[in-house]
Amino acid sequence: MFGPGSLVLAAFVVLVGVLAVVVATHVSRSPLKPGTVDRFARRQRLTITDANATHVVAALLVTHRWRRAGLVWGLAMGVLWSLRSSALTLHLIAGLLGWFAGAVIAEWRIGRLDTPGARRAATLERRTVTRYLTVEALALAGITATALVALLLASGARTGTSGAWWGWVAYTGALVVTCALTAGAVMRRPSGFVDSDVRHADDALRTHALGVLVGSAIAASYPALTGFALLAAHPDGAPTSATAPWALLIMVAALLSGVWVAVWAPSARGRRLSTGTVEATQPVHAVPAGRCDLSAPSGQSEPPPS
Amino acid sequence: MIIDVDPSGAVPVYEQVRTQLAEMIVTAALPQGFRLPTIRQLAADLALAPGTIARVYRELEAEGLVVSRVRHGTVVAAVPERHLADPTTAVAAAARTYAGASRRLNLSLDDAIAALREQWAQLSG
Repeated sequence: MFGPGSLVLAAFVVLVGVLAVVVATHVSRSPLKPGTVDRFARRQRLTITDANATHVVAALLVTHRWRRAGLVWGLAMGVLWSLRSSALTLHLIAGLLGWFAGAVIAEWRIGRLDTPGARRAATLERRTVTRYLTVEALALAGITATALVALLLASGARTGTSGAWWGWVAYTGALVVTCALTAGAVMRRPSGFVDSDVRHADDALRTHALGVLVGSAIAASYPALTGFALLAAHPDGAPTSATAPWALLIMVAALLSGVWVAVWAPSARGRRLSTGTVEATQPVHAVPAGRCDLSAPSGQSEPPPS
Repeated sequence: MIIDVDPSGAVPVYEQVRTQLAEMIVTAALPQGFRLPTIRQLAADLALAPGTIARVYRELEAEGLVVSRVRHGTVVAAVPERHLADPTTAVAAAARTYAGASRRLNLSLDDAIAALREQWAQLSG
């Protein structure tokens, strides 16, 4: 009934699946490195204190675990997808989308870690996008959105509404909706912490989350940008993206812009603080170990993704 | 600017929020034109029902301390003259809040006045 080829393929699929589970479980249970917390604190100009260390580590651990698990799952799904054409290929885009999905899930789950006491405090500052994102980040997001809309319209006008075109429209819509809903959830997350250090940490985590979210959305927009551009350039049938140097250029530009916004760009919080008093950051290893467990989240239990 | 609410306190949470906001506005800690957070944001942060914050904003608007406009949200208004020129009105409002809290705690008038004297002495000394 089944030939030897089918059995080998099935065994390979099972092997990839098991390997993905093992690797995803391993990376999702790995502890945070102190350097990760220090980098976060330096970039967000946050003073890590006894009061906020637990909160910061718990939140970073959730993002760290879900993003890594998403990356592994994305790559595994990409490999399985490539088997359809009897080839074994590591898809960058699958890994990126998996990482993005992990980042989105993590932001929704971080809200569950907030367990303030009975006494509540609230800041009177409005939580808006401009509070958490710099002008440069917003400009890059705007340029990407404009380019997407322009290419969508241009390709639609040239090729008509083909199946491929609708596919990229769905991809773009899903990306925008996911990004908008998650950004809204990050900003709406309650912040009733009485301790000012924890409030500062919460502000830093929101700024970090929105930077990563927008950066990864810019990076994840490259397949749609190149897809629409190829449809517009070749209405009679697009060649593979590798044959067009400008498609590669779009990919590199989107990826670099996204990584810059997510990782390297100055943070909006840092810029806000630079107009006022800037507190010196304290390395996380200066916080007593009992206050800062780099392997276990506090508050409500957060099971690692697997 | 921080608002602090203690649900187990003697003063109702609604009154705690209203008093703190009114004080900040009258003392110009919140300047004219300052946009207050949305009802939803403040209610979520303080773990209160949105209706409670909406009521606070409505009362502040009735007192002329804030202005609510569609799409602009709730903005701090120019402090009405009666709040600036008549400290008696402001003290009467604070005294009403204190009296209410004392009665809810079943304190006698003498005990409430004694507590007030003690705080007065601490602030003076």
